[in-house]
Amino acid sequence: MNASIALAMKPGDGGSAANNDLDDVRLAAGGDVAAFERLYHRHVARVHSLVSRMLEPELADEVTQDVFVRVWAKLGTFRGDAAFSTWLHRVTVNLVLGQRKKLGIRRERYLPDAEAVLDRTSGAEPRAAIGAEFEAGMRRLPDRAREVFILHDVEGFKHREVAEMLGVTTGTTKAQLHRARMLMRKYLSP
Amino acid sequence: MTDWTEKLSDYLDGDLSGDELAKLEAALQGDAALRGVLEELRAVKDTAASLPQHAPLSDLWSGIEARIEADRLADVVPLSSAGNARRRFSFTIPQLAAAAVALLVLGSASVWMAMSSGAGGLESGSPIAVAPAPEAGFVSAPGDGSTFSYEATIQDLEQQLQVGRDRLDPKTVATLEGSLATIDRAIARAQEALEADPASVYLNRHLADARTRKLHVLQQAARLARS
Repeated sequence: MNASIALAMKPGDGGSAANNDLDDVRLAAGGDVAAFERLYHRHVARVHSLVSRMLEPELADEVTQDVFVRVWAKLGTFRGDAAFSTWLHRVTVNLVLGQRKKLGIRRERYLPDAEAVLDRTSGAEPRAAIGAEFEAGMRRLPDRAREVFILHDVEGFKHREVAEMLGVTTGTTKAQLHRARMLMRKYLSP
Repeated sequence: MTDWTEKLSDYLDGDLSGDELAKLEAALQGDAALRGVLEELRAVKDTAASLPQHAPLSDLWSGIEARIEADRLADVVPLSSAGNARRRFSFTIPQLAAAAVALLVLGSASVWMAMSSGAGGLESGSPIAVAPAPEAGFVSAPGDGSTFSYEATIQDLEQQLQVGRDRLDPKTVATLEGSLATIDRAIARAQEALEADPASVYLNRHLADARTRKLHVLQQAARLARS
């Protein structure tokens, strides 16, 4: 593994977490498994959440492991010109999208009976319950709308980045995002 | 006539400008229903951005570490050709066991074939290699066309492992148990999901893969325990 990693930091990437990441990436790239374990513990929740939302939840543990094994193998390609967390996230998204393609996850999720579920949410319910309904709602979105919604609104990628990852135009991602939001608002309405 | 509802997400994201922006804002001033939709979309966007992160229920690190160690060993000793197969015996049994278990968890069919057939096939008395079954429950044995009970085979392998586990390094046993626990969780989750969606081909395939993976891990572990 290539240990000669440029560790330049971008403005705004500062903070002790990012500094710790860069130190540990450098060590891990040199073969230090303990350093990589620290990276794992700092980032596993975000990776696991993304995987769980983009794929079936029962696959999340397995694919999360795949992500970190892939990252370990690719650490030598991390140039340090973006935050490690950003790079990790891109690796995760690429792996998840590849997994979705491989597993043929293209079934229509937004089934007619989902309307009944959509209408169950009451405005008086606690926040946690709304969150659970919201998460369930995301799983019922049509696949492309779901991908765009999670990557843009949940994960914070820009339309240009989402379009690049999915191999579509920004016009498509904007249309799919609006479609997803229009469907998802039913999960918040009384 | 413009359907301003279709522009509301662009407006929320700051992607409108000039004449279009001015017209939408004018429409919003005169249309309470449109304002209502806008607020709903804003709530959706805000909720999505504030969703909590979910850490895995169990620590996945042991499985990751095992796979990393297997990769490191594979870097040193190529396992991909029959000609190199004997070189791996220069490693200690615990090292080999850790690599084998991790590589099996990785699910690489090519590695599996290299390790099991590199010396001309499985040794006498070894459990038969199996291919992933299209449906969980039974696994076909190649060659004779017969089937055998998955559960009985698993039970038998677990007993073999139990008998020989004292011969394995404790670290190997820990790694093995961690991997099996991860696979068992995957099996349990797939079974739960199938209860809700029993016709799902995808879930059935996932369950079958997980069960086959458990079988592979136990086969190799039992083999090592006997050696």
